[in-house]
Amino acid sequence: MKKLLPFFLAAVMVLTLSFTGEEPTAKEIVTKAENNIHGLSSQIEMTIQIIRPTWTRSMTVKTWTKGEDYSISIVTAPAKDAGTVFLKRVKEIWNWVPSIERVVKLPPSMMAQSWMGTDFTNDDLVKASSRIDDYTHKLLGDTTIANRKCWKIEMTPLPNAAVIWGKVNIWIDQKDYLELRLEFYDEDNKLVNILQSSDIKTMGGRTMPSKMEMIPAEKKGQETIIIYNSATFDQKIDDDFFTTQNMKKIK
Amino acid sequence: MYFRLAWRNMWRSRRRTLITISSIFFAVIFAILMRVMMVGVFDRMISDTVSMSCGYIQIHHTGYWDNRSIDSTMEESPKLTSLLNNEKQIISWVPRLETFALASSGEQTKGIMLMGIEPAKEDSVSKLSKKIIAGKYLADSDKGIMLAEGLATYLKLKVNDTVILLGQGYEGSMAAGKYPIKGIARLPIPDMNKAMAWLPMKSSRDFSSTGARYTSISIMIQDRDKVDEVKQSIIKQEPGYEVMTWQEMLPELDQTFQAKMGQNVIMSGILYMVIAFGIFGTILMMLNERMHEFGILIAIGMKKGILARVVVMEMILMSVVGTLLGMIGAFPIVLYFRLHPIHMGGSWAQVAAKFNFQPIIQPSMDLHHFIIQGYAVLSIAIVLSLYAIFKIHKIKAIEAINS
Amino acid sequence: MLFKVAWRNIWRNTTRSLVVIASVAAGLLAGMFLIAFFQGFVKQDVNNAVEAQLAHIQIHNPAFGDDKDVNDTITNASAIVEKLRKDVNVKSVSGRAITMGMISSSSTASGVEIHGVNPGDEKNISSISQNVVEGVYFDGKKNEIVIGKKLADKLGVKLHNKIVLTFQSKSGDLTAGSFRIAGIFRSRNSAFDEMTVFTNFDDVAQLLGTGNGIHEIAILLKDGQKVDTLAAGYKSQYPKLLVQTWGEIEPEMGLLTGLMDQMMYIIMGIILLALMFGIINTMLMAVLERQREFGMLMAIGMNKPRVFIMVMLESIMLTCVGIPIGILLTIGIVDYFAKYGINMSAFSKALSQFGVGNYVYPELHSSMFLSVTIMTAITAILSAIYPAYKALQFKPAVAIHQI
Repeated sequence: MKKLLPFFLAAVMVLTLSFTGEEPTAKEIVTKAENNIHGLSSQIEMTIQIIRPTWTRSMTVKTWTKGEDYSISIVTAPAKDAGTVFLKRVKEIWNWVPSIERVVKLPPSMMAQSWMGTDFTNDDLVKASSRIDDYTHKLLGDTTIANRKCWKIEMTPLPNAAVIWGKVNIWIDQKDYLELRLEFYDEDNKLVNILQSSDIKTMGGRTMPSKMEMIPAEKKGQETIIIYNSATFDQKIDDDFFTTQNMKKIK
Repeated sequence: MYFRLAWRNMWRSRRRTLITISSIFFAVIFAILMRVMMVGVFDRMISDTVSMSCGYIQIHHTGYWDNRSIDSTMEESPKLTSLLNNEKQIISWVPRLETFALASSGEQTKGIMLMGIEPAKEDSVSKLSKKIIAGKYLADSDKGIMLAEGLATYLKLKVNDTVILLGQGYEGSMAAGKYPIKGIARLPIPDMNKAMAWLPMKSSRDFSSTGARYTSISIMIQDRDKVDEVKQSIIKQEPGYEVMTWQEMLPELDQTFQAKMGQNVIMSGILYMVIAFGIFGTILMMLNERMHEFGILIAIGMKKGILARVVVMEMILMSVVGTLLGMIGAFPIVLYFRLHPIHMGGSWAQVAAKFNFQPIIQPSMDLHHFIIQGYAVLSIAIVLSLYAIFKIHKIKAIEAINS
Repeated sequence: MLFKVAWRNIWRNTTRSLVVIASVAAGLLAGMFLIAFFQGFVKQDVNNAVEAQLAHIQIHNPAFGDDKDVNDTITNASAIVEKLRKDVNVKSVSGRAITMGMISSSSTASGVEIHGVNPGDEKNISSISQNVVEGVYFDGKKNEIVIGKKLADKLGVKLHNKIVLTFQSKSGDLTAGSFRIAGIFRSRNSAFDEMTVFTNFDDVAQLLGTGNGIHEIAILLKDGQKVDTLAAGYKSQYPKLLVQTWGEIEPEMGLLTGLMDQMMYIIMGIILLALMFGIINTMLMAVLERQREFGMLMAIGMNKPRVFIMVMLESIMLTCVGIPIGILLTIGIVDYFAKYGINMSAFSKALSQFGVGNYVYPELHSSMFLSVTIMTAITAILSAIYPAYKALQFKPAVAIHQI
């Protein structure tokens, strides 16, 4: 029930907004955009490209999610890695590799490691912090990204929030509440990571960016690109779909 | 002129000359002995430590050391191989493929350092096979894995159990495999004992999908002091690699070593003090004995300045002879102990067993210690012999003759 | 009779006697100083380890062990801590909450051992608070952390920056908290500096969900010598807990101390040998000088054994005078350095970067006086035998006509 509260509040806010027609507050914008991402459930097929100065690598992955807490991903290509499954349950990550026929739980010490060699860490997946509750939000103004009108919002972590960033700037599309760009800064105001989204398409009945790029600012020639190939949303998936037993059966 | 006078004087009283020379001779021998023994002890500790860890010198792909990424590997290179085989200082070298991985028994999972080795070659450097406490050491063609004891305990695994490895392979590939445990080794350094595992090079390359690549080549050399020379020579002949010495890779060990050397300075100081008293006593007695002679010389008109110069020249000559003889004389003694090292018992042996070094004191044969110590004693002797000038200037001829 | 003659002989030639006396005194000083220096050095090593991290005695739940499971707290810990505080033998006590976790900055992350401490208690038990090189050892604010310099460099963070700690709570969930760096310390052990972070007990306990549960009780004693007997007492008092002395936690420390002792004896041997040869040469010169005198004595009918005894008696007397002088000198010099310390960084660049705590304070134990005195006396008297024997070799007639 507690989990649903933000949804409820957001819904109320959106309703209120549409009636009043007033400019929403920064926090309301972020809340709406966040809820836009985490629907009830999703099933997405994506291509992940890892780009490094001397090599690039591409793989395809199928992912099912339910709320914020559950997700399961299976690698479908390249052939060598096909069948590898990652399961996320609340704050735990499990790994299944068909060739070794064993389920392994990643220890907490591994959370800082890169997820499947990408520029995302395991920790990014389990994300201990919330963009709504752990930050204060300040509307910096309007800008445009790829011909879309955006709000630029500065998010400053609350003093005791478990957030490593000094601040995060977020660009949210004013029409569809899409997070089009995020910039992560350290405490000395130095840019560390950029997450940008583009190629807005309608997929599974939703309008959303189909391409996401994670770019570490300090590392030249390095980035990770995720491209959504197909997506369906809000289908009913049981909780026991996201279990270690199911990891072995999933295709 | 002074030189000839001094030379003749030296031979006039052979016994006196012999005693003076011998006092310097023995001083030089002791100074050298102490130095080479201490250096020998450190040499042993350093060589045993580096042979177990990174070697005296390592060659990497440029930038490897800072990020330790499996992508920062270097290809096998015949040119580099022949260079390493031909460099005279290099006793042995081993290729290694190190990577971070997760080891799991299913129940327990832990991050480890996985090292791909050429077992036979590796053993000649790090004597890893001697650390096996259960099962067997790896063979080059083995499919199994060897775990450090602490890691095996943590994972609750025994020999012949299967361990799962997960990790990241070359250029973003996924690495996964399961391996039977062939042997368990106990490492002296607790942190390593909790986190090391070894695979034969082929298995390890298959695991990481690296093909014919290494992360590092570890090199053992003959003479620790030549480490920078060898490094420069490798860089000159094969540029484009990252070449690092043990001091750069293990700054802590180097610091400990430097600290012990500081302690050594104090002990050498104490020895020099004792030596100085011995030499000074001899010089004093010699001057004392010759008072009568000096008295007569001054009485018949020899200038004190000239006399002092002759006497100091004599003593410098004797010191030089004593020093040279001492350096030569120390050689067979040091050589003897070099060939027949002193075996230590008690807590020395226990520490040695614990940290896997041999409990022996084997002096260093490095000649520059001989020269430095000889030089030090010679300087002490010469400074002390200047006392003669003071003494001679104070001589009252009549009293001296009557003494 | 001989005794009187010998006594008079000594004062007949004061220079000669003073040289021998000075040599004996110097030998004694060298030996004593060497031991005192070694003792000081070893003690400093032990103190560094004891004061920085180990304390004298640690108490754990036996299950805590290597895994450091947060649930394995000490039952009734607060009561034990309070009781220990009142113990007359105990100088200070600190209860710590310890867990393994991950520290992350915006650039990278690293595995660490998190020590939740009460700064007030911890200050009295660990020297880390004195090793803070930037900032302060806790400022009294909430969610402060003190980390090592090496870790700070690795994470790319500075004073007052924010970091996030992630670890498993009591219920098994992953929990995270943000902390501000209040201080950066630098101890002698950079591995410790990289692996250990300190936070306020309450801050970490709150995240762990362990309330006032304590994982480790560290005890610093008033008298470190009593550690074994007191630990045995606590063991029987708390049979269900694991009570360990620093020697049991780090057995290597004790072994290294033994190794240092052995090393010291070898160096002592070399120094005594050098002393012996110094005295032999001085005495030989002295005997040479007295050829005439001995010849005369023998010519007037003094037999050889009596001459030998006379020379030996002289040596013994000189030794007897030299030893108390040596002891006085030793006490004076060692006391001086015991007070002001010997700055080792002057001898070693590596040590100088540690700044404080780089001084070695030599330490004299009364038990050492006897053994060193006996060793020096034996050395001195042994060295007199050969010159005395030599004195007998002179033929009376030749001896008188010499010079």
